[in-house]
Amino acid sequence: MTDERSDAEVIAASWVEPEIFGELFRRHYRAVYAYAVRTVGPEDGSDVAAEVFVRAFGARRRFDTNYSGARPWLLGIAAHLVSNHYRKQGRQARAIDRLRKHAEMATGFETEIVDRLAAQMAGDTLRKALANLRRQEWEVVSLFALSGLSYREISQALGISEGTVKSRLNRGRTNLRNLLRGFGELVGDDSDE
Amino acid sequence: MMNDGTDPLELFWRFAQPAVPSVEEERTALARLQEAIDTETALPTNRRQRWVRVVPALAALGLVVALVAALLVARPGPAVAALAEIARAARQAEPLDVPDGSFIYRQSEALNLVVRPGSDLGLDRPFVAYLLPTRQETWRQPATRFYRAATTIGTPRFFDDQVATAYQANNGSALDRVGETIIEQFVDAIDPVLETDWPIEPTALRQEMESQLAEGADGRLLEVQLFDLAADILRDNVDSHLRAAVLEVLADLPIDVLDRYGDGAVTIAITYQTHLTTRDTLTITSDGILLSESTVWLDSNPGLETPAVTAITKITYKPPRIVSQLPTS
Repeated sequence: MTDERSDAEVIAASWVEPEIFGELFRRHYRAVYAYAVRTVGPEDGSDVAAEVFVRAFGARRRFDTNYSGARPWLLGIAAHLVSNHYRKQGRQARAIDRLRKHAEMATGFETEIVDRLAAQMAGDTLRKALANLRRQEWEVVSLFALSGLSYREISQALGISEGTVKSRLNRGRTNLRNLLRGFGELVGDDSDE
Repeated sequence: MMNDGTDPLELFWRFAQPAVPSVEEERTALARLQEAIDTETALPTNRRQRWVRVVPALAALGLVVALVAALLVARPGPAVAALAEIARAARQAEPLDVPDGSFIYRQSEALNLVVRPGSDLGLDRPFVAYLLPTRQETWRQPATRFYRAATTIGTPRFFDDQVATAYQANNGSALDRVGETIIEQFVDAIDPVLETDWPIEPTALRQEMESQLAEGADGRLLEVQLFDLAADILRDNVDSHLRAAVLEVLADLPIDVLDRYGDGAVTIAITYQTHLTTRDTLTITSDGILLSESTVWLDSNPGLETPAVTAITKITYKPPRIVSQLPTS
């Protein structure tokens, strides 16, 4: 039977009946998964998507029930988890996680590039360029480009005004264009062969 | 790859890969959520029982506390005083000089909680948990953004015999690469925590830290995220003035002093609620160097069968030192 309550009503009901929160998972897991995989790749994306719902469950009393839909909120948690360097393997790995997000391994990079198909390479290059944006721009750009949220939904996801969303998106676009120009030479060299 | 006129965001849409979870991924994710739900559902009864026992005692204690509080008003709390003292010492500490071509070398030992699907070890349980020790050496060269980490995996410690037996029988040590040393090396790598030009004035520093965090967005309170970010900054920065400012930011957070040691080191903690009551701790030397850190679940976790007061991460660091070259092997 379909639960016709809004997300906000489901969350409010889960305050007293925690089990009901599972309905939110059924509604939004796939969208969160897609966003997570597109931002951090398939290996870690699956873990991030699962962690989003555990975090959201723990934070559900802070959900603003003036919003009826919870997808922006969940994607905001996902964006923050990724940009805050997902640390499943403990704090010792944090520095490495940060570096992994921002750099290539010193060894194996060329082999990796050569072995990948053009589309995969482009996807990876885009992700790398995205990862080099400042955190605030990264969150807005990734939510806009990889999850399809509107300005208003991003403002809900990140708790910032729509004006700030637009200005960060503009800055992010400009910086991304510059970053891709640098990466573009590398991708072009291989794909032209 | 792109012309000047191209909207870079269009490239994301053009190259977006299909991303659909497998049945197994979805099942595992749902099981993780269910475990959090089960844990919370199990908590209220225990808490209620605890409160029934402690409420009369608290009422009597309240009177005493009110009297003592009246006496202590206007004095700084122990955490503030301890951290202010260390911050003063940090400001006077000799800066660590990193000559050209040399590396900042650091050793650490960690104990981390590993959570796996029970099926990994042939067990009919959604999850199994155990502790895995690691020893790590790192070499960092700020000028070239070079970073190398050599991590050696130790022998796990188990909470129950059934998991230990299953681990042996299913070659769990191969899954965890027990006994191996894993080397990861990065060149020209950007670490945002180290690259940020953090202010060394505490108010400005806190503002900059807050600007990099979004309150509640990862499901935790801003204060907890600040505590975490402070640890990130302390961990690898050698600027003693910045360390001092970080300590002053920490002093403003709702922290407790858990321990003070004869050599002036101090252990501070912040306690918060996720699906379990959790406590993060930092132990800081008398001149502001991070000596150890931990994250502890204060509640037992029935889903993972971990007992109350389980350290899910504990890391102990040796003070950083300068070395002129990398090891040859």
